[in-house]
Amino acid sequence: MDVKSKSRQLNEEEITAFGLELDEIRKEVMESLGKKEADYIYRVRNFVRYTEIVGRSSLMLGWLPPFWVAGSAILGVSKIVENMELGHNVMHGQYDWMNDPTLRGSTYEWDTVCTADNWRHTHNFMHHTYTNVLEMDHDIGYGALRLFPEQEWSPRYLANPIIATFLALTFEWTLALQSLELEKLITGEKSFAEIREELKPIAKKMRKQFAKDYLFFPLLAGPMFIPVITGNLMAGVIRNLWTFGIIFCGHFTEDAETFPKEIIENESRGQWYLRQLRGSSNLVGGRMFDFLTGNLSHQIEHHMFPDVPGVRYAELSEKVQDICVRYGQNYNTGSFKKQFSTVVGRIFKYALPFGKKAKQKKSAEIVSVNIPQKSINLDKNAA
Amino acid sequence: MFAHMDPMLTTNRKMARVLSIKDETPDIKRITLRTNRHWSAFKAGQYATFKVMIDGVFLERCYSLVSPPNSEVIEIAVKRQPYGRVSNWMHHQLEVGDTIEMADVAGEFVLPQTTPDSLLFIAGGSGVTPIFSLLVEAITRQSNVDATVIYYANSKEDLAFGKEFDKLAEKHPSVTVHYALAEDGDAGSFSIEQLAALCNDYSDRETYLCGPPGLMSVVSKVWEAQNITPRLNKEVFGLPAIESDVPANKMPIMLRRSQQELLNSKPSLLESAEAAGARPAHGCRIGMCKTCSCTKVSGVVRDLVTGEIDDQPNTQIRICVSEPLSAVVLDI
Repeated sequence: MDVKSKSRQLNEEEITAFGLELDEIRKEVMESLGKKEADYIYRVRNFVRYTEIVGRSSLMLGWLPPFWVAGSAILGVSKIVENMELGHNVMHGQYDWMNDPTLRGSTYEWDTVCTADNWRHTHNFMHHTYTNVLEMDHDIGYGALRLFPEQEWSPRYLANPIIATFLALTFEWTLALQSLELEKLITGEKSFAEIREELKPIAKKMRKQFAKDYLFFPLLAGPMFIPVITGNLMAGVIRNLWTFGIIFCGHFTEDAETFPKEIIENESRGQWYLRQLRGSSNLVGGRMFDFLTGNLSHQIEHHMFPDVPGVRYAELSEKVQDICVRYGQNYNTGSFKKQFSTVVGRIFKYALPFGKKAKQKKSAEIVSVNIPQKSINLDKNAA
Repeated sequence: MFAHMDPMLTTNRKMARVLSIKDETPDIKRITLRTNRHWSAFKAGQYATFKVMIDGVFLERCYSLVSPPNSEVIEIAVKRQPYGRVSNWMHHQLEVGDTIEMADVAGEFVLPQTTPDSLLFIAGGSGVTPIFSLLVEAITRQSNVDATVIYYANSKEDLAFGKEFDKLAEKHPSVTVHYALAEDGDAGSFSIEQLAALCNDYSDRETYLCGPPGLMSVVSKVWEAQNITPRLNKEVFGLPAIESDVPANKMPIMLRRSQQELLNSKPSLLESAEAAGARPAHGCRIGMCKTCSCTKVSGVVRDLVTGEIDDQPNTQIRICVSEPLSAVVLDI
């Protein structure tokens, strides 16, 4: 499973042309935004609000099993859509052009434990700028998992499968702690005092979210306390498992590539696009699937155009695929089942000290993206 | 949720429902509106911001309130600009019964607490709207107020509030109204001789001026030359224009929240702010992550990546890839 790029090496001119073509796509779509997208995002917001009302009301009758099951599921879906299609996308500033302060990227706060401000830093900035760059993109294993041979192995990674399962179940809570970079406590790069200070806003949001789902609504339900609290817990777990699955398929599939730090020095726009393409992977599904993933099923398009409304990615993906074919670039896509099984494969494989020797070779190969003079067709995709 | 039943029932936003739309002149419509309970008081001469959604985008425009402050309904007069998106929308799309969102009332173009002994009002084109309000307010305070109005317009049919002005002048002998029309040739343009002829004690009067930039500048020069600028109150309207005569490195940038003024010394607004010692939030510095996104309160900017020019008030811009083309105010 050692990653060899399935994409052809491009020379400098090709990389520039590749970037210009993608810039053109972005320009076209940005100019076409209007009432259709505005109506859409308002519909999404209404969907979130009304499914939340229906889900929570249904749980109030939770002593009847069908109501409990339906209530938990509907509330789970409501949270999924709020976090992904609404919150995540709005916080990228995808709807800033509307000038609606309630849908403004820099001030939107979402219904999850992670504070919007921390998210905008770790996700919008760190992850989207340094996508899959080792030691820069904290999303590579979230400081807790080893997923690529280029990450140095240590015995703590033997627990990869257990930690991954724990992350999946508690994703909302553990993601909230991501900005603390707790693993730096182990290495001594951070002190307890620093962590305590940074924890303050996170703890505040944790208390708020906990109080809402596990105190306020259960107490409001009175005799229905137990069904409501378990239903809310269930809805949270549904959302956690789903978001974990979708997000891990975004950058940790078999063909997803990582990059050494040096790659970002003087990176051109074309090279930046290329890195986004090679570090991301898509999921094939229908319109309903796209909606429930917040259009992150089009992770490649999302990474190329993070501020373009997600609802337009499906249409853009045809143009991006066409460009990829013309430039000999692998367009990493597949069914959820296929992509996720390769993620699980990585979680197990790199728990063990596989791939340490591959490190040097791999780095050299990727760096050659930056040295276009040497570029020849290195297509190693003999398979 | 109440807003889904009726937009006027929203729990926190100022909304107004259109009661009537009437033609005042060939290109000015008078629109009356009833506000919801979130509306607050205003002073004559102030303006309200209207937020209308056109093709999925909220656009903001300010219109002077021409109805008296104690009136139950509010009224604005909207002049259709040839390429004005909002004014054209208000002229052609807006209908009686529609609701519009409003923002705060603002403006310093008001009468002082104690009514001045004598007043001079100079209006040009649609700049007449706050002038009309101020005159009505002055008469309401003191029915024998000594006031002179000079109103510049293209032609007789372009005079907005003409009938009201005539009636007020008729009813209150202390009020004089002069119309200066471009169709009458020289008589229609401002000159110091004309001013002296129509109102020879102008230098003693508290003066209110609102009109197109040309009129504003010639009148201001006269007041400057006479050293009586403190008696001249001005109201500017319209969107900011690209200031091509100002050198790029002299473009003033105002950071509103931190009350810092600086000059555009670097390629981007972010770098200029940093060079002046400010520390705005930022991330990727390539216009991608939007960490530096902030509200541009006013001014014209160009997006360095897309080349797009934005002159609208209160829009979100990425300061790491924006350069100013006029004075800019940022909410930082």
